[in-house]
Amino acid sequence: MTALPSRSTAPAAIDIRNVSKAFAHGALAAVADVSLRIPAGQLLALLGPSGSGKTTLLRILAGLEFPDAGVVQFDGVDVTDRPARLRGVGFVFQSYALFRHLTVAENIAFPLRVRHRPRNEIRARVEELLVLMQIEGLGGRRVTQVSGGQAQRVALARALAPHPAVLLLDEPFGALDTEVRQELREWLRRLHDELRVTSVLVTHDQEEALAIADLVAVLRAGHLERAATPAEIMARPASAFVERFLSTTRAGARCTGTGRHLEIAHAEPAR
Amino acid sequence: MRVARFTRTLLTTAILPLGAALLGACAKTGTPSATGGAVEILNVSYDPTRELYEAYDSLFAGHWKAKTGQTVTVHQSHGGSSKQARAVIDGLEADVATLGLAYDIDAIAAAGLTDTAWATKFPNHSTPYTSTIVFLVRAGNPKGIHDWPDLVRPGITVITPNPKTSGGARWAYLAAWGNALGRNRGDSAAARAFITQLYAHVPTLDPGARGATTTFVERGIGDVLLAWENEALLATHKLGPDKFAIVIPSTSIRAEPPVAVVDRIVDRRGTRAVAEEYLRYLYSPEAQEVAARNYYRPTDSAVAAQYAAQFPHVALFTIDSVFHGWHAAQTTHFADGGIFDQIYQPKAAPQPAVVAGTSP
Amino acid sequence: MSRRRVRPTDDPAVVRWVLTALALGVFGVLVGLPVAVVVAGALRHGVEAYLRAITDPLTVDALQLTLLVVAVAVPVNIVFGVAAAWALAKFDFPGRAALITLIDLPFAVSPVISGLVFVLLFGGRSLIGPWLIAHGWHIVFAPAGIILATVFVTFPFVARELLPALEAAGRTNEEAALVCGATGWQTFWRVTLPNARGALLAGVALATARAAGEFGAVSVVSGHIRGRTNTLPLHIEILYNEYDFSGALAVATLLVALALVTLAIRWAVDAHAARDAA
Repeated sequence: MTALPSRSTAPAAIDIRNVSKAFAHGALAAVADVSLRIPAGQLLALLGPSGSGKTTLLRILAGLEFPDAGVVQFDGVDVTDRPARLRGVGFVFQSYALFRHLTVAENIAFPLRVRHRPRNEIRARVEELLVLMQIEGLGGRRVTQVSGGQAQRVALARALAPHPAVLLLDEPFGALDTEVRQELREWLRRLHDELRVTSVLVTHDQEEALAIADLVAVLRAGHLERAATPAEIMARPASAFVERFLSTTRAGARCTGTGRHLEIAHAEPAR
Repeated sequence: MRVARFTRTLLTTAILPLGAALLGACAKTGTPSATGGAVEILNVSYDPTRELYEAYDSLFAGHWKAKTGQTVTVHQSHGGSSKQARAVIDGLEADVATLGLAYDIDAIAAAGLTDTAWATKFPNHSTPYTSTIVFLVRAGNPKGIHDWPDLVRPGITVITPNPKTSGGARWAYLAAWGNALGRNRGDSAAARAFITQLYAHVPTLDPGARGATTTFVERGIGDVLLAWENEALLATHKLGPDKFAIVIPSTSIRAEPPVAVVDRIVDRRGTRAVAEEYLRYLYSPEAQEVAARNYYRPTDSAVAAQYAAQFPHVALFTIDSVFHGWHAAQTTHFADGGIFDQIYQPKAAPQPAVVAGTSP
Repeated sequence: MSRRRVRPTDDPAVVRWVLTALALGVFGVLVGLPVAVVVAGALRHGVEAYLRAITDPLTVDALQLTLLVVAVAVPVNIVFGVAAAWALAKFDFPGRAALITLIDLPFAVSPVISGLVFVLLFGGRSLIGPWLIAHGWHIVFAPAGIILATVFVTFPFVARELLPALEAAGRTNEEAALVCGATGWQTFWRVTLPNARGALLAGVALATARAAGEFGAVSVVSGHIRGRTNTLPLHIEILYNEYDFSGALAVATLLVALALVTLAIRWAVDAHAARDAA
């Protein structure tokens, strides 16, 4: 993992202010008045049980959903109403959503092709990413012919191809078995350290969140329970729910957060 | 990506020529060229005349070229006589109509497409050749069919087309009716009874004369085919005299398939001269010979004498003498609710009550 | 005996054999036998007679007209079918259910009626027909009418094949494309359509076969002008009616050849797609 991106976009700080989203004409509140700040270059884990609204929040960040209320800013620029196409984010779907009719290389090249980048630039970038993701030689393979772990890295490469300012990952390790998951998790952390793209990772696996994130935000039923560094959360859960949620991992968690003092929006206490 | 670009290129490069093709297909066809150059006319005809007009059209092309130096192409369309008449009324651009019965050309005239006095424009009520209705039977006439009453003997299946759609079928019906009238001293009830019996022996009604011939000849269905004489002769000659035989009944009807110029079309297209000559030339000795060679009875007496062996003498009555013309015949027999509708039912249904018949 | 090991979930061998034999038997009788009869009948008078029949000027005219009809009707229906399927799969709008039913209308209606509709719309006795004819625009009894009638009867094929494929594909791939920066059009061309490639081509194959072989609707609208408005199926009928049975069968082999080409293309695409999916 030695090559650095040839043309980098400065990572963006993300500001989420009072964002709410409800489905079914207001009957189903997916995200309720969440406020959060992610400094540039940090990795935030959105943690919570299923139905807590973490995926919806991620999709709002991506521009795949528009919030009913609230504001989303990238580096101070209001992007709330901007569609996904224009947000400059990279998104890794839970199912990878690779294009089955294209090869690995064509998948990775896709975001650059649709932006009409010159062919040699595309070729160089794809090569670069194949090396970075440690999947050199897979370029010509059809995406249906690679393993789960390799597919995940192809999805990641595709997300990173256009040098996004923000990287969003929706349960990226969900479909993999434990060994592979562990390995990839650590590899992702190292990748993040090197690339320093502002990243948001959705997961229900508390061990994973605590192990690799700089910041952890715990969601329950659409509300933000607690947002802090892993170390702080372990030390001070500050809510019964968070404590229960983390209880299974306190024993073996490894915290790799930077430990810097981080700005955190005021956390709502448990209701 | 390859696929996407391919799809895109294919569609954009295809749309232009396709648009052009569609426009071209819609474009004015058969533009008139009354001056020099080449001219095209359309002859809308009835079913059995395919071979006749194939021969006549090349003869006429030579004649017109010699006469005017202009090249003429005659396009042909064939189908059931009434179906063709309806097509002309619906916009089929016929320069001439050479149909199976006067009634169909009257319909075209009634629609305003041609002069109602069309029949006076050419000799013989605009009938250049005639035919009649005869019986076509299997070789050796195994069922011993010699005349009309034999058709209703038990076990005999008769093939004839549908009078509602086929001109030939209407001639056959009227021939049968006329013969029955003659045998029963003008008793129309007896004639009606005979016709009812006759159609009870018909298993299936083809829409056109040629279809009925094919049913009898190729599919081998039926003991006897009520056919145009020209159809019967054509079938025996083309498909083997050892397979079929023609039986001439004692009396039959003089079937007069007329011809007419379709005034509105020829005036719009500027083809009146060539269209009129096309029909006029049908009466010339050369054309009459073509007709005779294609088994139509020529109206030219010299040519008729030449081909007398092919056309045996039959006692013929006309539609005017027995039925007071086509309009009366159509109204009484073939219109909706007319006698044919009353007597012909699908096999299972019971016969309707007989309405007191008017004279045929 | 099969060399592969029998799995617990397999049907018993007897069932497999019977069903396979039944399927092949039905196929053989309904499809194989008629095709064999056509080919045998076409060659009954020898290869020279066969070649003469298929190079006859009227046959060539009919072939050209059929190819023109296919070349116009099929792409038109691809565009309409893709648009209709896409709108139905992606949007919910008032009248959606009605549109789905309307798409099937050409199937429900007899082809003769399909042809008659155009005669009534554009013929000499219609509202706009006389005006069109007077200005030299020939729709019915001309190639344009044949094309229109064929477009009508082949319309449902592409839409019906495509709609389930689009619905099954779901939104995720398209969302991925959007997040990758693709516009709506780019997503459609580069992701949605290629994903539905197999279904699209199945629909195109069916539409092509039907467009080439359509008889009823075309017969009503054609006018049967020899050398001008006779497609291959109509020409075959003409030859049959002129007692030229082996000529009719010879021309029929052209239609069979067209069908085989269509099937071959479809088979190739299916094999390619299966390779993708494997």
